[in-house]
Amino acid sequence: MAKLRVNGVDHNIDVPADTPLLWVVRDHIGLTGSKFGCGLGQCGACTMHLNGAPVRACVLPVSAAVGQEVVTIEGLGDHPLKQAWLDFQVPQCGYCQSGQLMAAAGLLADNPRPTNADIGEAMTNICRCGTYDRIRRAIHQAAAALPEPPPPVEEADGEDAPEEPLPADLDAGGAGPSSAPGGMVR
Amino acid sequence: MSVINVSRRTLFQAAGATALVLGWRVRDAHAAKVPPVDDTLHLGAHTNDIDVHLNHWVRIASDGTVTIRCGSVEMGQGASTALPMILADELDCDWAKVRVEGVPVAKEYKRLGVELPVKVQLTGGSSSVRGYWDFLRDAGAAARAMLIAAAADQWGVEPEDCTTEAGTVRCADKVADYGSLVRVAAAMPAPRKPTRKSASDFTLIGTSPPRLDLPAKVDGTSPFGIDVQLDGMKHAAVRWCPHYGGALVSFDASKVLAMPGVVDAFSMSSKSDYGDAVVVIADSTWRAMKAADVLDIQWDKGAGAGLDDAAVDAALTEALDNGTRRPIHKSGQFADDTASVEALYTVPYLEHAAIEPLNATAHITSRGCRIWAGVQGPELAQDIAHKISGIPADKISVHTMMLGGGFGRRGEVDAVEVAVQAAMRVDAPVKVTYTREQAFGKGAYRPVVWARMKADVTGGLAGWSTELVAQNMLARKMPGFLVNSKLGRVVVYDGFHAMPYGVPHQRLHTTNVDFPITTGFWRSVHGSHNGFFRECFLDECAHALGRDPTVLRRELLANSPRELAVFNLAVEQAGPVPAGQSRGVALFESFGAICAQVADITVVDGQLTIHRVTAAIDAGTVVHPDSVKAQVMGAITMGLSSALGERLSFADGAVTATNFHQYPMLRLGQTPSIDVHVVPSTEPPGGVGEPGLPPAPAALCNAIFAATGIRIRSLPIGDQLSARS
Repeated sequence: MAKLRVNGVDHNIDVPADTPLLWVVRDHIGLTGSKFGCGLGQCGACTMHLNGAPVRACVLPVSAAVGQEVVTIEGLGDHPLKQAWLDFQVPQCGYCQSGQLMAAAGLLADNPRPTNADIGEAMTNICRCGTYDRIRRAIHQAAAALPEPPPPVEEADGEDAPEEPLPADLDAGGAGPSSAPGGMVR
Repeated sequence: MSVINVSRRTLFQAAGATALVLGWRVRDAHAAKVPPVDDTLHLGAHTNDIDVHLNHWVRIASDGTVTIRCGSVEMGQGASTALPMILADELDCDWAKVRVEGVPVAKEYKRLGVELPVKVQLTGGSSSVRGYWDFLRDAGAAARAMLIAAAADQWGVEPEDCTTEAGTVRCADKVADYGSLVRVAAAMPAPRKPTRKSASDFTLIGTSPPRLDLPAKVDGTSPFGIDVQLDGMKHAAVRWCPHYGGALVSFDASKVLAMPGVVDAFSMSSKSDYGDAVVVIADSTWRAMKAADVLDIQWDKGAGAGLDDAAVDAALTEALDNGTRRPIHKSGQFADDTASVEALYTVPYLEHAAIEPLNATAHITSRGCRIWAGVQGPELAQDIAHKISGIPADKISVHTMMLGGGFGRRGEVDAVEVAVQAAMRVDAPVKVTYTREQAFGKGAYRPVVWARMKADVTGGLAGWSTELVAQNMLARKMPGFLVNSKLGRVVVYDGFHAMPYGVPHQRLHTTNVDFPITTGFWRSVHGSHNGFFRECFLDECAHALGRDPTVLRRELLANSPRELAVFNLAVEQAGPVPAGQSRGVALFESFGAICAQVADITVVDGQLTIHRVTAAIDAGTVVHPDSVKAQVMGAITMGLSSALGERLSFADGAVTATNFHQYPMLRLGQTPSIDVHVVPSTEPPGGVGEPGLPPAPAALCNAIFAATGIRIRSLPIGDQLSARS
């Protein structure tokens, strides 16, 4: 019997130590927002946060999570990403989106003003419906809603000016109701 | 608005032990005629008020809440918002008071076959709006007429003098809301031919209210089939025979049965052409999967022995050269000796790779069988459960869950078969969950298809011949005479037999080739190969003629004004080719819609970057434009993914890829910016889920040719750029 802390709640669990965290959370604790996709850490549908960092729970033995802080989509709270996801009407089938959101939340915690390249590098979760372009736009919007990151301490010479977060071609009113987020779009 | 009230708590906590708790109570005359809903799709505003049915599509509560049934399953295409909008528009109700629920398997909820003169309860073929459009408009218009009749009766005025708006009937200074009228309205005769709105009076159709299913997909509460949890539920894992054409010889379960939590292991044979399997039942998903991993199974490779990529290629070559060629279409006189451009194009087997692995839950009791699954064809699920268990169909209920991707794969019912077989062996609900390895290994793949095309480019594009060699996916579902009829072949050749391009001499042949590998419908079906074949070969012809591919297409579309307008819109919206980039264009018409695409790319040192894809679609009258844009964006992404790296290989009749690491799919970092433009139209609705896919691989490969001079004739592109540059 071990104590597993998920979304701030302690759960007594009695499973073999090599059981993946994902199956403990889904089958034993009953939180089904985190999804099974591949069992190999490839697709990211199972992404949760372990001590604030995204992990692929389908390949993480529960023993590695005992005594740590686990947060799932159910514990993400009122994150600006959620509103951005709705504003851009990101999900289609929606199955991978819990993992996408947790991966994106991990990215923004690390890098509050990501460039497209940063997003591409961090967001390796697979979406078969093909919502990537909207995910990218939504992450930029959510980033803009977060507090300004503190200015860099060094780099007084201005050589590493931050990249423009929204290139013109991403803001050109393509997919996504960007002109009137979340509202009726005629 | 947009509050999701899934009857999830009811289902998940109580359904296993108690009779199904219906989410509504019925006390009205129409109720007896309306089949009870017994699934779990409930979206939108909640009400505790008592509903009154006006017909089998809509009922209204005294507080004005309007509950509309959605005949299609929700697999991401947005049907659970778009379909209710059609009825709500005709009804003139307040969209903020609409809630949506799914439907049971019942003849009342079959849609038009669209391409076929039969009605089916099957979500697929880009047919949700097309297939339910007439029914929903009539149901909404009829309900509105009954509400008007009730008000007119009450006020002593003529129905013609009444108007409706946002859930109210009005006449001069009198106003009554639908909730107060519905009881009387339900007793009014339903008009036999209700008067529909004219398109200019639509208030909802053509707008994009937020999708009702999305809030739960953002907070993790949306109930997919894999999320079903029932009291006392057991979990199953399956091992299908990995060798297509093979069979089970024997298995030894002794080691597995000794594992903790394992309750049973058994073998089965599919009744839907999936072959033999061994199934393990345990007390948790993980234990079942672990146990299935160590099953000791002897398979006979059967016809799969020796079946590998080389054998597939050899059989296709043989069929191309010596197979039975069936003439499909001929116009003018194509003569082989006039052909100066000739090319062989090929595409491989593909997996659907929906991210939710296949799963299904079944529970058999003395009362019958209940199935929870995300399936495209609930009717097929009911039918296969009946065939397996012998339980009468009317005692088998199918609770359609959210689908974590369909793409055609969830039109198959193999997972339902396993769940029902397992449920017959234990006194508990059983959920089977496929591992990703099982999902790859046992599929209904997009078949391998080859096309040899020839063109006569004397003084313009004078002649075009196409010879398609394909494994016909319908061969396993239909008798031979149907496979070889127009009906069977249409899944192979559409896009070639009625080209929008004005080519005077045309000839089309198809040749069937058989393999024991199961194939099926994969998003855009024929379009997934013919878009690539046709639009890239047309590009080759343009270059042979020394013509710009865009200009040549415009000329060839002179007598296809709708196609030309779509093509021009895409090109115009794409604007000038950005400096340093190369461009490819493509057009394809499928599923009642036309889609044109422009791809802008660069290739540097063999490294491809897709910067932007601009698309235009004419899908006739569009219900929810933002969903159309989303579907086209998604289809483009899937098309690009397939073109770049997807391919299934075989050894001894078994798929060699076991998981995503061996089946490269597009990720966000490789995805271009995608702009979709919808052609305004008042034509009847076309399909939307699939037509965006076929042009994508072609536009990409045409851009690659423009950038590098490398003509991609075989998908996937893989390392063809780095190997040859």
